[in-house]
Amino acid sequence: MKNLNRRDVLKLLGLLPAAYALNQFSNLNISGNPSMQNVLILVFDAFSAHHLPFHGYGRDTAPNLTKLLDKAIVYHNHYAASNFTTPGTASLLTGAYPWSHRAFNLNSTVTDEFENNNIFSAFSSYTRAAYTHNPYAHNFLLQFKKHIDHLAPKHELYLNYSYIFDQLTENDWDVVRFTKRRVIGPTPYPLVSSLYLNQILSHFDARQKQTVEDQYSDLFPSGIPAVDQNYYFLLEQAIDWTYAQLDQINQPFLGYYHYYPPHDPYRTRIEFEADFHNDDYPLINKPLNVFSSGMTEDQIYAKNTRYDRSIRYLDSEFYRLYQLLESSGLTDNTWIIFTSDHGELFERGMTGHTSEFVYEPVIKIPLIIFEPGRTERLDIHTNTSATDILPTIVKITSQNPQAASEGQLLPPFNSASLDSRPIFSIDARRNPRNQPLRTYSAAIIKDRFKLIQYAGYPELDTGMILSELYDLENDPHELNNLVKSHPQMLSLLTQELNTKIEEVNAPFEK
Amino acid sequence: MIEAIRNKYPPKFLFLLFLYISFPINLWALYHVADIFPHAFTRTLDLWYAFGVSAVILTFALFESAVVFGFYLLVGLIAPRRWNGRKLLMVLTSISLITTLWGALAQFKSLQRFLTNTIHWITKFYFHPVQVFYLVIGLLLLFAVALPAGVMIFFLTKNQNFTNKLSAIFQKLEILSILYLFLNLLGIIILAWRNLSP
Repeated sequence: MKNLNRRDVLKLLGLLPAAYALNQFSNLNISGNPSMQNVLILVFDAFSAHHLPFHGYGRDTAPNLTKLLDKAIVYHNHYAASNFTTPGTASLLTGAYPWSHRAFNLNSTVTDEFENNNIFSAFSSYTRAAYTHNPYAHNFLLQFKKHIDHLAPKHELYLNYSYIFDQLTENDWDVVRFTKRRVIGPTPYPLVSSLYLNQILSHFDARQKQTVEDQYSDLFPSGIPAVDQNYYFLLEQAIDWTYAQLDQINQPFLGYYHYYPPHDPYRTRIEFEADFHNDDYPLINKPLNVFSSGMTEDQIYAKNTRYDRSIRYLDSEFYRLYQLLESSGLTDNTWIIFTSDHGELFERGMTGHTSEFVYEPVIKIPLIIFEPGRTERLDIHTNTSATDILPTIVKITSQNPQAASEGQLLPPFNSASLDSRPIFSIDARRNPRNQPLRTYSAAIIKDRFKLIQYAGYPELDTGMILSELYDLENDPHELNNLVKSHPQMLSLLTQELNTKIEEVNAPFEK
Repeated sequence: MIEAIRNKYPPKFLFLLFLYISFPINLWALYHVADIFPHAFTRTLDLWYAFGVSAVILTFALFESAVVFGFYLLVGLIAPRRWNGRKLLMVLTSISLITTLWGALAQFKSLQRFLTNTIHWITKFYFHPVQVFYLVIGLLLLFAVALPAGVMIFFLTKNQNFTNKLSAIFQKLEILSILYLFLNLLGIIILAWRNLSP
């Protein structure tokens, strides 16, 4: 070996700082670098926070989720921006309220402005993957598909679907679904438009469904989970598929997975079938209003119990996914956002989320953030909105802020107080999207008070606006309307809501 | 088979038969379009959505017309040679009209209830239910399709005046049928536009 001279030694000494830096770089923990952390958004459709034990519900619907909260941030007053999938999901994906993204009619999509201004475009340096069982949510994924690297069609995880009616018409699912009933049946209408083939095609559909039912009826004796009562799926399969995809795609990734349970028809697996049977859980009797449909208490109670059982099913499957992610080490560098697009309601003569109601159960949704490296639980009681999620995950992962977002940075990532900020939730499904808001149900939540306004509905007298005011701290079930006893608060919130409506209506006024 | 069809039917015959067969199917489809269009619009407040719904019905009507047309082409192959030309066209169109009419009538619940009650009534006489089912189907085919078709064929073959009058009626419907065909094609274009556009 050639002897080292003084010059060689000096040269090697000069390399020492570079070697040190290289060593430091190789030891860099990916989880410590925010811009390299993954983001996984898990949406469970129609999941009301009112049915979770850690939000005060009397039934233990989510024992597994409760176990995981020891290392999570739990938001106790988190609101969807609307009360059904289309506007609720659009707000989650754009960080904007329905009056801005304008996807407030059934099956609608957001305005062009948001096609390049959404959660997927914000994470342009990430691998972006998305899937949803819900066809209305899928509309947005199709609209944003140029920003999604791995977008699976919704029927990827359906157990039965028609090649002609579902696969060829991917963009037009709702049109075809709505029309298919009218063309071949089964239909609530007495007649169908097909004169010759309706019996053959509906028989073929029924046989396809029967094959799936025969295969899985042991596991789901009260019915296999289904989208729109027709398209069967298994949450187990969706969870396995999600994990397999996350395990394969390049990191850092943004994953958006929107599962159908616990959405109607509230189906569950065999081991949860008997849960809450005869447990005498009391259903609170709440006053009806003009939009109530007149369902009996027994009907509501039965549906409520089935809904709770379907939450047990998703709780078990979410836990399984969490364990898979944990065992693979993904939880160490992945922000997991557990939430919903809107809630579900079982009161005032109604069930579901198809009414004009914006009461708490249908707009208050779970938000749980599993932060990488967090070892203890943090409870947040500030009012927060689904529009806050986009700006928050963008900030914590150092991505590009989205100009059109109306949300704020969620606590504890925001040092400013959000206590006096108004939160809105709005249903304008009966208002044309290109016109100013005239027919709507709107809720404004500020501090502990909530004002609900129903405006423009033909069910109301012409020009009448129906208002309800509640003190959520002392009356979380919205039983006592304070309109008469708190005129000052009513006036304050009405003014704030009206000013906001006027402001968002301005561009649409002639 | 294609060769047999080509030999038997001239192109104009095929075109006219398709027009006549598709006419009642499209008429029924258009009734449904008119009925569903306001529902579709109210559901989403989106006119383009309502057009999409209409397009599905019209496209399906075209598909169904094509299937029925194919079936009657095959039926025509077994028709006597002397019925070629206008007479065969009238015979096939008449039979298709009768079956289409029954296709529509069969959808009415009252008729379905009547048939079910009839089956129940017959089973009271200790017949096996399957035998009764085939008996009723047989009687139905006989009285609803075979007999009216037989009467039509009888008049069409024996009475030139009747054939001429029926032919004149169908000729008047040709323009309307072409318009319906145009609407079918529009339906396909709308559906393709909605699903192929990015």
